[in-house]
Amino acid sequence: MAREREDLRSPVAPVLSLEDVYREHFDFVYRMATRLGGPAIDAEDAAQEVFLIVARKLDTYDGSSLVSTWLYGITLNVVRALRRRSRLRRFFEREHDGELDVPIQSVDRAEVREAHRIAYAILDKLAPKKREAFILAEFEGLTCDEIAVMTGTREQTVWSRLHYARKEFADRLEKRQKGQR
Amino acid sequence: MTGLPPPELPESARELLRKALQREIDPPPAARARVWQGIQKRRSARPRIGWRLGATFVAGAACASLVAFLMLRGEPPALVVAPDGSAQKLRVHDPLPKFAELSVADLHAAARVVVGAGTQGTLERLDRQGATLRLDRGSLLLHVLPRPVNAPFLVQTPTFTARVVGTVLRVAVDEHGRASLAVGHGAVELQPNGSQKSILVRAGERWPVDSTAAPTTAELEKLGAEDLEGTTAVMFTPVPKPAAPPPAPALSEESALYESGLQALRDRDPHGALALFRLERQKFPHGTLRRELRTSILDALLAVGDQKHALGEIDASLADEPRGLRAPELHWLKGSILRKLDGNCRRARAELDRALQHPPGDAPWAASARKLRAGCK
Repeated sequence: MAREREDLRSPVAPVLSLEDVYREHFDFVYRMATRLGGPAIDAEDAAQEVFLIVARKLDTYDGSSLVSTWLYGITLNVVRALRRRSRLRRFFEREHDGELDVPIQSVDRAEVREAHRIAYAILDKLAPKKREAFILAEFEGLTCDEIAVMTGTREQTVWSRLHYARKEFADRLEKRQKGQR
Repeated sequence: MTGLPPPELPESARELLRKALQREIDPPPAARARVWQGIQKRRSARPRIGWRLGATFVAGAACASLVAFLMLRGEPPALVVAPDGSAQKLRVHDPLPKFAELSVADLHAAARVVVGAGTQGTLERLDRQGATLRLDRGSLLLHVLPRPVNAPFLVQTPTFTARVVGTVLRVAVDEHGRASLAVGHGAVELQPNGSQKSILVRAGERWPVDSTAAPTTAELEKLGAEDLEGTTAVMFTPVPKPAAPPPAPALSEESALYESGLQALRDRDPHGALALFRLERQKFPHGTLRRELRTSILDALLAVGDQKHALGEIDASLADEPRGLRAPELHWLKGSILRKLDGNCRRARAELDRALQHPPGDAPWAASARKLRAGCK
């Protein structure tokens, strides 16, 4: 994930325009929406909602955090709301809540797609806050203190959530794999 | 605890996540523009001070109903974004609105077009069977998304018709009715009016070859980096003739079709890719790229779930090169498909044995093959 330099964190709130924020951070918001939302949501819809909120709240941004941190918080809330509303996951052709299907598509694409599907099937069973900590750590490579800043929680809380998220993820994966044999 | 990471995941979980992370999550081309247009529309539909929120809801519901109605009729919505940022609907057979500055026409899921100032043209067709823009005067800078071969995107001018499969190009007609075309990315099949023959115009080429029309900086900026797909002004300038003899025209055309098909696969349009690959096979049955084409057709068939034809391609590949480098993998693919089709291991077992006969080392499919074979006692 692209990280802004420390010197962009200014004591005086920078003057931002929606166009500037959009131009510089659209890709980031889209990728975060895709990572956090998974197959359950449409990343373009999520990105649109995020920037509509940004448009309304631009004058409340005080520069005390990085723009990306601010945007992450908005994206997280939008994704949570969209996931709650999402009733039907049609990302894949069939529901795969049982056995692991052998991929039959060409090697690289099949394995990547299957791994992505399994990972998100397991992630969808984690509690939201554990899920978010896991995605930020494993998919975005953030440390616990970075996640803590991003989510507005304490580092120890993030540590705990990540610890249990990893344990639960590993347990669920092992159960799936045992179920194939 | 502070500063120390929590306990690591086991290797199997880390391997799964490594693969899952390879999934492409960057926004597709045109997503940035689409989302921005959506934001602008919704912001401009926002109720003014004193209006009730219900008015916005009703307006939004009416717009959504209109879009749904147009889509149910088989007519995807098209919009023109005027220089002042306002958007208006563009229906089939409507003339393109004329403005004194550049405007943008968004043809839903088909193309994004920067319309030159004072341009005269018409949206002749926009449905699931194809799209057609007629240009009478002025210029269009287009980014056309990859298309299935049976749903072409056509640009008609006074002197030619261009058939576009997935391209960045500029078409212009001057005040004397002379039309020209310049391709920045991809390839365009051009048919001069009254001629049965078509000409392939590739990136960096133009037709007629002595035309000098090129997109302006303003047009390129209006189309935007995402739609330009890396195309720059330089790519619209003619490519100097190489000193060595150029490649045979058949290979260049074959390459262009193959490249377009690959791009369609990258853009997650396997149906479009399959159509392009099949066209290439039909035009160049003994082409230089026939081996690569076979692999790509197999990829596309598997992506669309056509297992029966995928088996046919695998069998043809194995008949061609029974000891080729890819033979073990093809046996594995065949075994996987047969296992799925039959619901048992009767035919799959032999294929998997052939796949594992020569140890594939750390080939990505090897673990899958071993697991599947282990399950076929």
